[in-house]
Amino acid sequence: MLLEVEKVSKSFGGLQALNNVSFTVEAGKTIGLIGPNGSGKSTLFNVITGTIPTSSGTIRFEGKNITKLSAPRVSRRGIGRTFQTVRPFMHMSVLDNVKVACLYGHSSIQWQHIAERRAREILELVNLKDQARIPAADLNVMSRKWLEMARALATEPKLLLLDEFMAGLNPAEVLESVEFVKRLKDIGITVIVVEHIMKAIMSCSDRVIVLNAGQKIAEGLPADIVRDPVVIRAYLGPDYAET
Amino acid sequence: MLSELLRSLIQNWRLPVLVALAYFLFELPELFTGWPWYYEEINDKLTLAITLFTIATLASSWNILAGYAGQINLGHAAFFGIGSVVTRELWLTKDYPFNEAFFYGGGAAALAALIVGAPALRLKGIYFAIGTLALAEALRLTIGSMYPGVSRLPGPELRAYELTSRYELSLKVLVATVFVSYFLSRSKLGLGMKAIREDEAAARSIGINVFLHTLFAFVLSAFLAGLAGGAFAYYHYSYNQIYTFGPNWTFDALLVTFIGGPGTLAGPLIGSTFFVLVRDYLAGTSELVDTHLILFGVIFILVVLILPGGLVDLSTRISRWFLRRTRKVFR
Ligand SMILES: Nc1ncnc2c1ncn2[C@@H]1O[C@H](COP(=O)(O)OP(=O)(O)OP(=O)(O)O)[C@@H](O)[C@H]1O
Ligand SMILES: [Mg+2]
Repeated sequence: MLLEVEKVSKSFGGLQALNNVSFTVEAGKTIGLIGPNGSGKSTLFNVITGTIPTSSGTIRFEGKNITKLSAPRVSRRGIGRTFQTVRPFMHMSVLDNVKVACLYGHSSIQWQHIAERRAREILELVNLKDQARIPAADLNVMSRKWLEMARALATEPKLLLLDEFMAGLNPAEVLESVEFVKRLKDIGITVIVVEHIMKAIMSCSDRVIVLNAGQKIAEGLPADIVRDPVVIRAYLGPDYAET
Repeated sequence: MLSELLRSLIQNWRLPVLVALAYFLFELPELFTGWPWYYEEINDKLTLAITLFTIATLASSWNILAGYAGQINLGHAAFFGIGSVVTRELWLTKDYPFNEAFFYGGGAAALAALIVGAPALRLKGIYFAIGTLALAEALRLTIGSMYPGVSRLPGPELRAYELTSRYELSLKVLVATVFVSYFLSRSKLGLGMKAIREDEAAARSIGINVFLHTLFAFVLSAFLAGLAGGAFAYYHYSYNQIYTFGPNWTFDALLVTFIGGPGTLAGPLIGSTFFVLVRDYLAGTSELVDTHLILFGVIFILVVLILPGGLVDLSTRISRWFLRRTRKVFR
């Protein structure tokens, strides 16, 4: 197992954001993570990446306990992420945004010129090659999302956590993103995608996990999940079952 | 291959310019010695240059932590002071050779930053700023009671005193600071610091250890300020030890960095040149002696409000505008 999440809980004061969540992720799979607003999806990403500490439970990555590791250490072990609201390094060039991730992260390239070459390759992958020299602040919202993706990929993650990458995209862009996620799988990156767009989740996930109010309420194949009455009641709504 | 070489040459134009400028400044006093009509004024000019170099060094070193790593240190004067007091005491009281005393001065400042930084950099932003200010003030008062009198150069030193060697040492410290900044800003560490300045959480998510990077920037910045203090201890023949700990050194550095452009190599240099020259001019016109405080206060506010990138940003904006115009003309 690449990732093992075992009875993880997280509370903010009185609010139980995660309640005894357990699941495992096999290397090479793409996992969909869904659930209503405030169900704890982003919080789950935050505890896995060490951005915030867990209240209890254990997280193992490649068999090793990473529960107490800081965010930078988790990144160096090979877990990359994007943020739900993008956070590019605004006053740095697009190239430097990606290059700095090549120099640190799991890739930890020691030579600047190698890091720079690698960064250009990754920018080409996300179609930002021509904007390499401009400051990230000058990019539009869409390009900023792809820059965020490029930066996460530049750390050379084994596991990549995508937090609502497709939110706010038009249907064509969603399709493009789905294809991109499938390509990540082809190059051997394990992905967990948080997404509200069910079609996207259905077409790129091998398995789907459903959170509701901090608890895992279902897990299974996408086709089974959309027919699961518990999921329909908690998240998808009766309309979805009919269509 | 050739085009790549050419491009890297164009991208790195700053380095040859800096080297040429440094060389020119080192030769400058030599150039003027043969000019009798200039000779009467040369000591004034050297003194002004030393002041400029000192403020430029303090600003450039302050900029390493603030401009690159994004933490405002309001106790920078403490490191200038530590450098000067340690150098002065070792050199004059303990009879160390000057060069040794000088490096111990810088080292003491760096060590102080390491000791203070380890807890203080757990705090961030405004807490760090206020914490450093409070520590520096406490240190200033302590030094004031430890060394109450005026520190004077002893007779033999005084008889051998000449300004050119003082000029050279403060210039050396400035050149070292600028080159350190230059190489830092293009190094892996420098990129990591800029990422932290931009967004700490995002920086952490790509594997950057925020604490170690800011601590390194702080210690390096303090070391260079300490060397500036050592050069000051060499330069002044009599001053009160408490003087170098004064908060005005910190605020001058902060002010000129913001006026020139924080986070850039040229910003602190341009800002301090502007500051020192205008202040000198105003001091010359006797009624306006202290108006520079008000003037620079106003300039500071205007720059922060209208031109957050400082004078450096203004020049890039103008050159961009100019480029657009010329392109239109030639099309
Ligand atoms: N740092 C925090 N401090 C306090 N409460 C928090 C914090 N982060 C999240 N929460 C709360 O925890 C709960 C889960 O939030 P989380 O962001 O994980 O939800 P989500 O599933 O990602 O929702 P969305 O689909 O809207 O992104 C919410 O009630 C939220 O208000
Ligand atoms: Mg969320």
